[in-house]
Amino acid sequence: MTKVPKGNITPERSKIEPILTEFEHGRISAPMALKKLHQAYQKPDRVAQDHGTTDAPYGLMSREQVLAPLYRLVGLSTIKRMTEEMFAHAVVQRRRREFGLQADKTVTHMVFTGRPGTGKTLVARTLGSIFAELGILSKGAMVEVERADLVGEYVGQTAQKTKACLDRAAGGVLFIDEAYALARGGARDFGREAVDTLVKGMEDKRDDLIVILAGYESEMQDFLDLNPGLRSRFPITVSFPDYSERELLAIAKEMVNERDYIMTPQAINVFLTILRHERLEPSFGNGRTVRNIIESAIRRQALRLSDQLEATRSDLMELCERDFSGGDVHDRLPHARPNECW
Amino acid sequence: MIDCLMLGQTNVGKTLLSLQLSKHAGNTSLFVMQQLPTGEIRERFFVNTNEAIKTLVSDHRSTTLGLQTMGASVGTLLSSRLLLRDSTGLSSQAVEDNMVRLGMARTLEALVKTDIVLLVVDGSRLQAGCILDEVDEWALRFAMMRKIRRAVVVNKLDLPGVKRMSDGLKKHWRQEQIFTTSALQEKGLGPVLQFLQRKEE
Repeated sequence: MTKVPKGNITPERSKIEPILTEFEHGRISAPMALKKLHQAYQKPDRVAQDHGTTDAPYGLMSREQVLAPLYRLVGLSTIKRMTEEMFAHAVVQRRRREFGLQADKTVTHMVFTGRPGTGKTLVARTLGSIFAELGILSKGAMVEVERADLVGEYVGQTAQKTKACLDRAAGGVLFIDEAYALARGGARDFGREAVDTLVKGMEDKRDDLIVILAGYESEMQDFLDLNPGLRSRFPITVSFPDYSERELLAIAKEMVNERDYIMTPQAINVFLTILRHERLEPSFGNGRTVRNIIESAIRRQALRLSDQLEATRSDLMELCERDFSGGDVHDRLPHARPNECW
Repeated sequence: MIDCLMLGQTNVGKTLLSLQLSKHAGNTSLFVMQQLPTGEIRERFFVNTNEAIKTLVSDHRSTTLGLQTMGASVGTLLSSRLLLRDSTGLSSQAVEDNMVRLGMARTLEALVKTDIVLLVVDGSRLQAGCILDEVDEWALRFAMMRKIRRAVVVNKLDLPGVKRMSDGLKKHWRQEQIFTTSALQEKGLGPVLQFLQRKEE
């Protein structure tokens, strides 16, 4: 403690203590506290020198570090590639500005198409925070709205409601789920008014707002054709394909780990069997279905263990095949016996 | 004296790893000084390591509160003794328990002062894509910025899939030293010990 090796930057008490007190009172989380400590050290000498260096454009963050929350998601290769492009763009624009060249502000409104449960909302939320770190957005929070939030009941109400939503989302991402519903009501519906207000608001707040429209593939195409200005204002369309079996299994494993459970190898087999049958259903909800299967298995495990008086730690963590199948595998399958239920 | 801080999330095996390291370094008896979050200081003496493991290690989260300084000499560095300091595990989530939070604050405080950091991560809990958890990543970056000696220890090698995860982690953090150990089965402790005992480059 007394002898400090070479290269050790000596701490300044006055900067460290407020952060620690804030943490002790529970106002900030541990990663946040570390981030703040990091900044407290950095400020005096490093920031001034580092400004404008090439390899670390955003503080000390490299591309991998900025995009880490996105890389962490399973699958979604198209969106990952697209975000890498945007990252490169943001970096190059910043360097151009340093040389006094014209740097354009990109409009990155997007359309997400895909079936339910393919991760549209999750990606939108992640992109918000990534863009905030890239400096494209000022806040990066996501506001999720649907038709009912934008369209009013009376004349004049719609524009107000839509404007309120745009104001709330300013500096972040406005995510409109099932956006095609805005055009559903026919010619005299207020949905059109909402679309017009939206387009106007997008132009006004162009540099600090990203609007993402989400919905089913074919319906979204019809919707975009409806208003001639819409398609050109949403230059990027990303389609979210259904997850493959392997990806669904990876998602399931992550969900199980998050909840502090473990799947036995046999349980994984049963899970895959159930998944294969579920995938044939028209109402298959990709990630959402996986979550439902896992959650029902967790409930079954609880039922199984509630009778067991001496459950060890590993018992409490393990999801075995019986939790997924509930006895025989085929009893669980939706076609075989619809009324069979634990 | 040189401080070596064992850092990491809750329940990754920091206490067991530090006890095993001290055992591996040839210490039979052990003198432990516990600094509780309240400021109280408690001293404990263990005749052998197994007894210490029984008392100090459990399956529950946040067993260790405050800092535990292992009084055994693990090695000498620049002709001064090296102290292993075991700490309260950090967590990415908000913590309701006041005591645990105070303990974590002591950990952060120790991180600001320490000379060597061993960041312990649970190999079986690493996320897909071999990315460190938020709190671990910031701790590592903080250590990198302070330019102190640091290493990442991927623990729980005995669990399936951990070897692959640690290999992936090595690709991600090429410039960092990464060790893979199993504190439970006492595997891979030698290289970590060598790292601690080696003189500074």
